[in-house]
Amino acid sequence: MQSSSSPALPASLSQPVRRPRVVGWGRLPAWLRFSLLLAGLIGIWQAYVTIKSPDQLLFASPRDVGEAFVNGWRDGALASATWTTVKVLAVGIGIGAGIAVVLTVFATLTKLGDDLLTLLTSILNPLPGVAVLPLALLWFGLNTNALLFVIANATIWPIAINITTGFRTVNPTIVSVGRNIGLSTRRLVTDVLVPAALPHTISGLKTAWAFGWRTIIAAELVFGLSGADGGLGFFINNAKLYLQIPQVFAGLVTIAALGVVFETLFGVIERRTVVRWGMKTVPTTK
Amino acid sequence: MQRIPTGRRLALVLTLIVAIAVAALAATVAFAGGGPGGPPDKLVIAYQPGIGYAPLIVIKDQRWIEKRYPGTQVEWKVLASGAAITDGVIKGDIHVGAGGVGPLLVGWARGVDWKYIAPLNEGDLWLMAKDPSIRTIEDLRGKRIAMPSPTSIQAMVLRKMAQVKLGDARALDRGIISMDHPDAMQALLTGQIDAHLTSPPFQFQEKIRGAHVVAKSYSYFGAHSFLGAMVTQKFYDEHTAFSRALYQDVQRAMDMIAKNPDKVAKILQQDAGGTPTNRQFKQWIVNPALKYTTRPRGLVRFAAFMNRIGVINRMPSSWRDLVFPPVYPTKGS
Repeated sequence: MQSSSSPALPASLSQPVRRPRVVGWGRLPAWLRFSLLLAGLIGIWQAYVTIKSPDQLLFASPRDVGEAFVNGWRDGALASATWTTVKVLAVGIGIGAGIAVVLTVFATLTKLGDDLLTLLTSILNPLPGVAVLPLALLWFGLNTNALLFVIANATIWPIAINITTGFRTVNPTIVSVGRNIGLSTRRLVTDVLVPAALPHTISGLKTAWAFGWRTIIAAELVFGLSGADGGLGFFINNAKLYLQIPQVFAGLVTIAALGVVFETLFGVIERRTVVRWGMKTVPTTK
Repeated sequence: MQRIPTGRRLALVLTLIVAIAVAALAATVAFAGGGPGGPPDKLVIAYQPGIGYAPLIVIKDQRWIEKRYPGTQVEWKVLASGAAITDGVIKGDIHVGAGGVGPLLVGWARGVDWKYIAPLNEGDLWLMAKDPSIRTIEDLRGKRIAMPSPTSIQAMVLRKMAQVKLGDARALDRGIISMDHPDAMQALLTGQIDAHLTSPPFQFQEKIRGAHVVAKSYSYFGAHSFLGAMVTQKFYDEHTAFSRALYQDVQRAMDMIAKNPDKVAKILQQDAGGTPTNRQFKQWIVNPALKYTTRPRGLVRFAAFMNRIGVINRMPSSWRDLVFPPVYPTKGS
């Protein structure tokens, strides 16, 4: 057995690997680490602009972007654009989820419905949401209905796939226990199957939101509807038309920030339900 | 367990970030290469659909640039909107961009260092509607009005109309739909939109096919410039002789339109792929709604209006700020 204080070894090696107590990166709380990283990245961005001073028609400094962001929210332009986008997205996902539930119920009850759903999802799920926009514009005209159609189409399939998988993978033992204690079919569905399929349902909604969010921004960019009724995609496009590059960046920052907010929201919902019930483990951020 | 010590991990992350930043810097430096003097080796000219660009189409067809500068490789592009042409010029992909007074002034005010090397025409822009109940500007409240973009000259005309008739320049902004003219014509005739602020020949075609004129831009701005060919100050400085020659070519094409409209109609018809008829094109280019001239007119009037309603935040001190020296003798406004 070798003593740690053996004189044969240099002092630095003789000690166990040192874990710095005060300045250790890993010891800092998560929010601080990410804030520092973010600050560092913004610092590099600002440094690039200061040193290289790129064409202001192509690139904006974080300072200008911050100003445009604050002004945009203060004068309501960004707020109303965000509201428009979120509203259309919510209604679109709502319609998509409704149709998905109907399809799933049909698929669970009958073999025909099951085959139909399998066929439809395999055809329509790989289709990028915006791809159907030209058709939607022809069918519904130049209005919000076209957008709703595109978002509904982008969200039905991930939700339907996930809920069906959820139902199919319910532990048969649990279902048997439910039957044994004499639950009616209705209660078997509402109290056993639905909660058991919840992790999949939530991840379906999460995918649907991610698809829908990307789709609506892309659709708004292509769409070109103008005026006060335009969403965030339109806001970005319009700012670009007027060559207001900081506003373009501010629109992008808003989209990214909203993305983070919604992801966090889903995280909270998961922690409150499926994680607490021990149906899903969340890898803790180290 | 092998763990990289925290300090070294932090260093690793930072190195990575710095490396990315350096790569980004290097990339921008690499792309920023400029061209040499003399006539350009390669020239990209971009214009939009419409007979207002007829002088450029004549130059393209007659290969005047290639004949004068055999070493220059000329590429012609037809883009659907002035915004796309603005982007191309800012990025340096397009050397000569043709477009309306709207994008010219919006770009100029935001610091795009460009001017007209040759104005192409004066044009009366008509606001067309198909629904018989839309007769006046007042009837357009809450209606959908198509035009190339919210920064197009058409959008400025609409705002002037709204200011005069409705008391608020932005009263109709909510209804603006960005569409290129061919699409918008289709949408108007099939009832997808309520009105179309357009340009020749689309306004003539729409009239033939059952739409009616609600208002005309000349009633609000007087006769005014419509389109022009733009180059940047940098391009003009590097290729001054070439730019002057381009102005001469535009003038020569206009003379041809005036003296030999039959020949030009044929050229335009060929360029358009054979439709509509020769006679149709001839009728269009001699229609007084469009007058081919290199004399700029009403540029300052447009700038003043756009400045007043907050679309641009700086004013040219004279029309000469918006054109290059070859245009000076035309005594514009």
